Amino acid sequence: MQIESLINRLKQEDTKRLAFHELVKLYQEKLYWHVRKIVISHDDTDDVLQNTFIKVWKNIETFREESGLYTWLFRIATNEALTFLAQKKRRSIFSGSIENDYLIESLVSDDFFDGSEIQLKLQKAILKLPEKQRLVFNMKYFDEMKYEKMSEILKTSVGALKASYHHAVKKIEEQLKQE
Amino acid sequence: MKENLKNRIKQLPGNDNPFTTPEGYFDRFSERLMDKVNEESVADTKPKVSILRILRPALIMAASFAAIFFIILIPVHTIAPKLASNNNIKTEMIDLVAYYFINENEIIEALEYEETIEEYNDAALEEYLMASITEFDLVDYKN
Repeated sequence: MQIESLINRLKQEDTKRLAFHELVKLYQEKLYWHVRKIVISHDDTDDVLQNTFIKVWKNIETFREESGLYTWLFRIATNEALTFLAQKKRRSIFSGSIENDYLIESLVSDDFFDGSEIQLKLQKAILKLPEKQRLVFNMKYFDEMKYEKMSEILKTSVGALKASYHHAVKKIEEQLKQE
Repeated sequence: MKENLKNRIKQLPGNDNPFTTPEGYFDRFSERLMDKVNEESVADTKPKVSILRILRPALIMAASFAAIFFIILIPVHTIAPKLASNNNIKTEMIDLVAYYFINENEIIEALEYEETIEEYNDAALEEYLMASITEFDLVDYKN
């Protein structure tokens, strides 16, 4: 009911600004941590998060309530984060570096990474995963998101998500044993 | 397979969040975002005005050409058919004048003259052939 009222106010010109402020306060942290695990650096996350909310501001009139606000916001944030990474990858390929090197560099040099040595190893192992597996692993392992919810956000079947998670866990385990 | 996955996950380090944010980041985020939204809103309205300004001379020129085109096209469409119909009247008048000055006898004479020329031509041709071709020529032609 609260969310319904928020959506209605977001779609009306005179209440849009205040309702948007409420929306940001409500979802900023959840979306931040979701994006942060994808793009790693705080500064990049900040850019992606701002772009996500600006997209929401511009497109709220087109939002169809059947998909759920939470799902819609996570989908926009995921797309923004992946688009951001794709642009970074393109640039790093041109500069001759290997794919995902940029993310590992970001992790090592990030002032806002406060993990132990084993957590750093885990993050490095996650960064070596293919993009989709990395996304699924983060959403399941860290955010403890249900497969059904994940399926709505990523528009992938539950079966495929389970398989991705299984492969990801296996690869990370092997990676950690090697080091 | 499920048990295997669970055991594997147990081997992994804990899922505590190792990342942090600058102090007070989430308190200020909304404010910074609203500033950006305002900038974007201004930017969204600005290009519309500038595009119109850029296109204005071209639009004026296009409108002028259209006006000139119609100024030329309308008289051509309205006056030209009249001229065409005037030409038809002229030819009809010439025909009427011609019929007025030629009487019936002259027309009959002209028709008879055409027939006599035709008869004369056949006879003249026969006479010409009889006069100019000899028996020797016919024998030569046969051989």
